Amino acid sequence: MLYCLAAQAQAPIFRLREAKGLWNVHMTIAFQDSHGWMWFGAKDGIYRYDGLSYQAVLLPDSLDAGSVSALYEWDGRIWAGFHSGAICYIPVNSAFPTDMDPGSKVVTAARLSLWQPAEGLPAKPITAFASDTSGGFWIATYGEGLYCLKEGRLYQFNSGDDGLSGDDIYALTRDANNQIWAGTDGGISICSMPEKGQKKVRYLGVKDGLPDQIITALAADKSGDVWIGTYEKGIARFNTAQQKFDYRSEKWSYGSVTGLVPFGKKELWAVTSEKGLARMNVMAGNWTLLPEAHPIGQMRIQSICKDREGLLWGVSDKGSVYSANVRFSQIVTPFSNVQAVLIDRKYRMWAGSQEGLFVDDGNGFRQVLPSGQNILSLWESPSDSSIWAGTYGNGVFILNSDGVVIRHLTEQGGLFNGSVLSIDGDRKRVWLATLGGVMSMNVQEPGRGSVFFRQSELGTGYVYRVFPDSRGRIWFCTDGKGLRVMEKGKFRHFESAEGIPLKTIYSIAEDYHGNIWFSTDKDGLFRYDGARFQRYTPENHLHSLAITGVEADANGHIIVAYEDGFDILDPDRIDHVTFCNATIGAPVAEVNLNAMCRDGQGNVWLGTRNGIIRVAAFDERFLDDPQPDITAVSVFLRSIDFLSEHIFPHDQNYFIFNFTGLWYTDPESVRYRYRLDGFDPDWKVSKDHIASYPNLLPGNYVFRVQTSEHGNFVNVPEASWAFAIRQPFWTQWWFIVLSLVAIGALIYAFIRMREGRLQRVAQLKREKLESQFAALKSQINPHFLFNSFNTLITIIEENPGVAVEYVEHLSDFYRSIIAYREHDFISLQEEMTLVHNFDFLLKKRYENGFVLVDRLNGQTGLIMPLTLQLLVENAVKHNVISASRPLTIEIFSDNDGYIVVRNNIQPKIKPEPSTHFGLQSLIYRYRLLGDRPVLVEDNVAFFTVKVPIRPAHH
Amino acid sequence: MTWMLVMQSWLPCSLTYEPLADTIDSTGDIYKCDNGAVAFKSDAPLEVIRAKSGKLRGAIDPKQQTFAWTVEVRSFEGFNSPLQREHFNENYMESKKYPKASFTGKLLDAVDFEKDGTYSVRAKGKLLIHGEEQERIIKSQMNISGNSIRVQSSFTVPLSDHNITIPKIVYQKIAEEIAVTVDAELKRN
Repeated sequence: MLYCLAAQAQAPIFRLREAKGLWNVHMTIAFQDSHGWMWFGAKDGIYRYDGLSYQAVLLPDSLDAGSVSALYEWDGRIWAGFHSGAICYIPVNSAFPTDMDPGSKVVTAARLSLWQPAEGLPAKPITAFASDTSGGFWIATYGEGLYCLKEGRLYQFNSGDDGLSGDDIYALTRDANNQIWAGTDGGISICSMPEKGQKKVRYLGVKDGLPDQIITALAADKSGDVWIGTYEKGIARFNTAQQKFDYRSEKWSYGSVTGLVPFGKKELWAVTSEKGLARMNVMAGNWTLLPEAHPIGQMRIQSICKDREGLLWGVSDKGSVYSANVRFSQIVTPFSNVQAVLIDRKYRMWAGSQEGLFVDDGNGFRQVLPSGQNILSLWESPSDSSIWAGTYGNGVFILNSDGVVIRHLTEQGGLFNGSVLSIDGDRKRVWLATLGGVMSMNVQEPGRGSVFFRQSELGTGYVYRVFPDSRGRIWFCTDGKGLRVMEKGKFRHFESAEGIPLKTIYSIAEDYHGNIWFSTDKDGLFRYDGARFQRYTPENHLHSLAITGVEADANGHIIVAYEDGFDILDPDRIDHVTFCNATIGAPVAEVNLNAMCRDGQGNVWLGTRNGIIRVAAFDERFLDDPQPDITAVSVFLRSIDFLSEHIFPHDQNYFIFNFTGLWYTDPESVRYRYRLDGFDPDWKVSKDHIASYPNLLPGNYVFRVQTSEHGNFVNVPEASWAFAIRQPFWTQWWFIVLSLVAIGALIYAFIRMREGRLQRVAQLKREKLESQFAALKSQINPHFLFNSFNTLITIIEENPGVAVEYVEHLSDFYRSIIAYREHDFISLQEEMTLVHNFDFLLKKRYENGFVLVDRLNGQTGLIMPLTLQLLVENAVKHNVISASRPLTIEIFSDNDGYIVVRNNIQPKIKPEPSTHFGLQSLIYRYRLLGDRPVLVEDNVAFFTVKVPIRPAHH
Repeated sequence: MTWMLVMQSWLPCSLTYEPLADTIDSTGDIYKCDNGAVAFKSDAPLEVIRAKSGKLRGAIDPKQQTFAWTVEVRSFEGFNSPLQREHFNENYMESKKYPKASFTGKLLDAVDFEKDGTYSVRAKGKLLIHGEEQERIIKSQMNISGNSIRVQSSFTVPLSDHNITIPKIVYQKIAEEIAVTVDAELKRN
């Protein structure tokens, strides 16, 4: 929570940046990183601050390093230097645990890592860091001189070896030439390391114009000129372009300068040992101290810095953090109701009220016109710097710059009305707006050459402002009769603007583009660009219609005053209006009618009920909006590296986004609106720092978040993060194509296999049929029968008994053939019975020419029917059979489960015609049945066929 | 390459290595040694090369907080082959032209030489190898006990620092950064 410490004379309002739960943490130093986060050093680590709460980044366990004495950002890390010489760091983009992480109950604090360069850490306090643009990281110590880390190696600059002006370094800064300035007890050493190991040191000392050789503070301003704070001789500025000192303070009495913060070229803040915080108006060369009664004025400040919003941050020696919006400062006046304010060319402040006229030339207000004079208007004559003070009813007093009245213009002396509401003019002529019309006179000789405009020209005698613009036009703000302008001696009357009738015009100003701005009593503010009017009302974010004054500052901003504050309107950013009141660190501003002025530097001053307010126009650009920043992205509560990860699988679809809109000026006012492009149809406005999206579908998304400090999301900055959730692989075209191909291949293979099997079965069946048919055919082949009958005829006559036996065997043989032909397999015994019948028939025919040797010895097993018979028949068919050359067929089993049929070879001279069907068919059928193959050996002596035998089984 | 460190001279580097011994003798307060161990290791993808020398000479002046170390490049032994040692001396270190490597400078951290104990000390000085000087800060452990100091240190030396070029062909056999270790015991009279 913020609370207002105090608003005292001539001071911005400092607010204590308290944080709940941070007891006993004493901050030592303040720093802002490139993302806009404020960091503070302490004893136990460093703290990151978002404007509302501090997050601790503690030291590594067991490291006792003293407190943080330097903070810096370099190479994507926040660096913390300690009194012990230790240096720790944490990546800028570290995932910080947030208390909004749903589901995570244990909040693990982020920790600093100890930097461990190979060269070792310094053993003396680290006093400052700096970096150059050629990759060097500079570390200042108190006792060991300066270190430079360049391309991974640490180099040391010290007084003994390298000509450093001292080994105790108080401050570092980088100038416009990319050189590092080190302030020491012996002057300034300007160091650089253009190449690795190449040390360059240039000395700047008292002889060169330094006011004091002990340099306690250094700060480069926006153009790289260097402000130098010394131990006892005040402040100097070195112009790096001209290489010379262009400012040195004189008669310094504020003690040593331990901190410097420039705001552009116009303003410098310094921490001094004797007087605390002091502000210097650089152009005027004068200093302003915080009043002693100011709480900050009594504190010793350890560290100051400015942020990108233009706030000045200070850490007190008690470890408390303060910030002030130094754009606004308040001067409490010893009189009330400032009705006119003027800053003259010597930066003296003139203020008029019902209590008279006062001037402050740096030593407090001094009354120059007594209380009876009710001062309404003030003007400084550019020709002789005399001050013209317009009163209510008592004419105009002309004072010299010391405040002595040199002339009093009254109604008696030629003024036609003694109430002067406004005075303005140039080197030649002065214009006075009165309650009786407007008069113009020669500046040098008031009263001569007077011109009068009354009701006849202006429609009324009441004129609030008369305003000569930069183009020689004279504008008249009348009461009830609109806006009139006199150009080249001719009057023009603006009766209406944008359809609004113009009646009473209170105030008028010209911005540096030449646009004329004027305010009305109840119709708002108008801008006139020479052709067109633009109207501003609360509808386009003006604070109210009750405008008491309007003035333009040096940056083109329009200050619009009210009885309860003022707006700062940026015409370059449509609709961007900042209302300034206590919540953004501005003083309470009850601005009196037309009690405004612009000083020579373009700052705007407001006269209020209880004092004077300065609204500074810094010549340095500061942010005027909260800046959105996506700080973390987590997927299923797991924090991811969102800077490099952008594509996620389909099941990684629960996203949580954390974001901030840093706005230290008024953190409570920040509003967010966010939208997930690809999901949300509209923006969602919220105060939370978190958005979650469970169950996102595959697709492309952009998370966008915008911030605004007043809920008006026009022209506001945006942060975004694009990502994609991939389709699950099974919906990808390539997967579908592959799957179809694979399924097709499987089906094809299955069909092929099935076809093959069916084919084999069909073929087997066909083979079997063919074999049976062939066997049958061969057995009833006329040759065989004929031969058998011839044999039978022979036997019948010789031996009828044998003949009967022969016919019985023949008959058994044929019966067996017919009985077995349907079987796939028969037992070996059955086959052998058949073979023996066949043998009997052959024996009767060939007598001793045929010998069948059965050496199976009762071997059992299964065999295809007629196999052995076929082989025997083949042998008989293809060989010569005679007694002298008997054909011997042996049937036996080898040990490998084969039945072997072997015959000696004695080929016929004229081979028997053969279909070669029998043996081939046999081989083929065994193959189809998947058995071991039938083996055929045909050598010179023997013809051998081995038939696999199946084990008998049931 | 660097291999080696070694340092020399103390005091301002105007003293070269040679007068070292004389200086030491003349002032009994100086710690010296001439048989310190220095070793290096080149850990490249294709080959690891190690070599060491036992002839590191050194001196520390406790009053001035200065030191000097030096070693003859030719005194390094080890390597994976005699040919490699020859290449080391002839081609890379050019030890005929640059016979010594040295490291001379000042102690950055104050050491109480009268008090026994172990100190972590940073030394800042000029590292001379292959005729090329580089300013370095090198961290070491100093163990002081009575009249002797044991100094141990390890650091790396990039070849590029000292203008030692390695032919492309042996690129993967020699590391770009050489790890050096020193272990020396210095004594005073």
